[in-house]
Amino acid sequence: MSVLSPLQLCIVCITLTSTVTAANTFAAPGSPDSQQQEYSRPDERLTASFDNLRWVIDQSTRHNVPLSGGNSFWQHAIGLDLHKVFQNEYGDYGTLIFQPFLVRVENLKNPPAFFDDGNDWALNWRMINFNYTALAKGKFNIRLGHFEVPFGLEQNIDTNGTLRQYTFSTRAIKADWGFSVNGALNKLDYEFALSRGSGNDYSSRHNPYLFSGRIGTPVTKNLVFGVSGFFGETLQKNGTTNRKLLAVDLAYYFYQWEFLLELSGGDVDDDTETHILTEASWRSPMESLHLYSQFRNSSKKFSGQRTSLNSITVGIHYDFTSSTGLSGEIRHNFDAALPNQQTSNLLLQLRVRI
Amino acid sequence: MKNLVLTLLLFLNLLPLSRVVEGRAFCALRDPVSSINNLFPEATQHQSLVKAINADIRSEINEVLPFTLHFNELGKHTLYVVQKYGDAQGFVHVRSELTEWGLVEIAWALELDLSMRNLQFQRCRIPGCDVKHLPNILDLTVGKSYSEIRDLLSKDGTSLRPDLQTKLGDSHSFSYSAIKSALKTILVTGMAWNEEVGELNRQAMINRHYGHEASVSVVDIPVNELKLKQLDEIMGGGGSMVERESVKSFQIQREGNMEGTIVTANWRDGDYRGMYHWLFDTEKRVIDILTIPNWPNEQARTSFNQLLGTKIMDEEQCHTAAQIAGFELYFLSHN
Repeated sequence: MSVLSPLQLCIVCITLTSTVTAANTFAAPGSPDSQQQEYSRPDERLTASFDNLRWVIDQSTRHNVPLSGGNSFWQHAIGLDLHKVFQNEYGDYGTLIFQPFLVRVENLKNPPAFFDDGNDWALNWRMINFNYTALAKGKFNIRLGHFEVPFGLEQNIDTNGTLRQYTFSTRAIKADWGFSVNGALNKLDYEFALSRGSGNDYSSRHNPYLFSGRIGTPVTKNLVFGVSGFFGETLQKNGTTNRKLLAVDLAYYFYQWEFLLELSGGDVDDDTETHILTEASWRSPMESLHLYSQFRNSSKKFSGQRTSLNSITVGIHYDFTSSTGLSGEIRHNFDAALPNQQTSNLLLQLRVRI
Repeated sequence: MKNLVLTLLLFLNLLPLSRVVEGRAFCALRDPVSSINNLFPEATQHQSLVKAINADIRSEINEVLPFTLHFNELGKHTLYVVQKYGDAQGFVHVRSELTEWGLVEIAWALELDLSMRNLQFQRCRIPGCDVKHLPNILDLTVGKSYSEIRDLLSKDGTSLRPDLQTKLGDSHSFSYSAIKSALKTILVTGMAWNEEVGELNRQAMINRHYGHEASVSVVDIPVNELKLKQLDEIMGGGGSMVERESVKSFQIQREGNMEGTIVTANWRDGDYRGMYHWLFDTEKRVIDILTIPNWPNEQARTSFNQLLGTKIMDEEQCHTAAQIAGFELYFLSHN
């Protein structure tokens, strides 16, 4: 089971301390009552610290069934999803995202590096970061902590705890510890990050590092276009992998339809890789039902031979209530030559957020 | 082990916790900073106020409108108070509305008195939405109060007025959805953020009449039961537009001397429900009156504005509803 590194512990302490100290800062600026009212009693401070706070307990259980025979596995997760906006007399100055999760895997072959083996508990930091927003009306912010690596489609689309994922697995890192500059300009959104390159756990082993960034048109429009870069040495179980990747991504929305495309490629160690992802999806008018299909193509070397791998995914997500959702996905790999890859998998997930 | 986790999951869901629902991970939440900057270009900062929109608010809206919030609209929502060097300029409230083409998300810009200032689509998946629909919605809503926007609907509220349907042609259905969103936005803002909206309006009133002097302080004076009884006797048990139990008064003091009083109260006029803010000076004169949401109609605005600069009269001299309301508020807030 993974434990907290000193830096992770430090960031956790800073964020929790700031939650309490920020209590004194909450008062409607310039409001009549704020001129007389002072938060002097501890209970008042506590009440104030819960203002502008959202939190839920997020629980999910996921089952992977190989349809063509082989190893099935379970993954259970329970955690906190907390969001707090901090403010002072000048307005909002930052947003805290705090998402520690306890994850249990059972019978999982090739588990991520933060599990000791395929039957293990681990503390998974989905996101834990503070975005300082007081500099330029949201046009230039500074984020510190563990955040999603800004690259490709995942920058704009919620894939936190969902079965539906994009291409992070091709880079072997979804979120990382570090800092970024980010903002929303009138015609462009951007985020550029410098991070540790070690993923879930902060580690300087093998001295990894990562520069990443994406710049794109606003997600509020029906046609969204972005370009991304990913350069660095990311930590693996045994050493690091050097990646120099570029990507373009495109999203087009048409009534209840969503069409996505991501093209990425570049050097990975001594090889050149390319990846294509396309997705077409449809949502019901209230968006409680989401149907999607994805096609992926990757071209890379296996055992010295260049191989083109293709797969399709069809998935469904249905919200029974606003807090309970059921997801299912079938992933089919056309090229079963890869080691430890079944040709077809069924994944099911039940997720409850209360 | 999986049985243990499933049991834990089931147990947690049976706990009598407050079921404020937040379906999406919070890291997907983004402040509508581009919309805020476009809707209030003069703003220097904004302040978020997060509140839970619950079933009570849903029911209250259903009392005054023939439609209400859908259940997905419940949960915690953010109202953005937009400021210029510390002075509140207005609000941005983003709400989603169901249309026949899916959910449309609109960032509404409201004035402090909750009349409509501007809007921007945060998400409208109809091709050409900004070109085809935005000008119509701007034309129908900008500069209008809740009551004026409500007047755009048919009497039963289930469609736009027939003349507007004819004028708008095939975009009348979308416009109706946007009008529903506008009305719900004003009502939800007034109900869920009632206290904050009231405070910001009182402060704006003080700034207008007394400037930004730090020496001006405000003291909250509760209305006592005796005064309520006395007023009931004076008025012979008769009702008025003012909900007397809701009256609050705030003394404005400068260097220890009383300069005036702001009195707030809920009031009703037919279907209209609002909150008064009256400013009296020390000589019984009415200095300012505003109501949130803005006045129900032009007649009411004129009637109340005629009292500005005049002294509050005794009850037997009052002839209009506005004069009676003024008398009641002054009586309840002064010894």
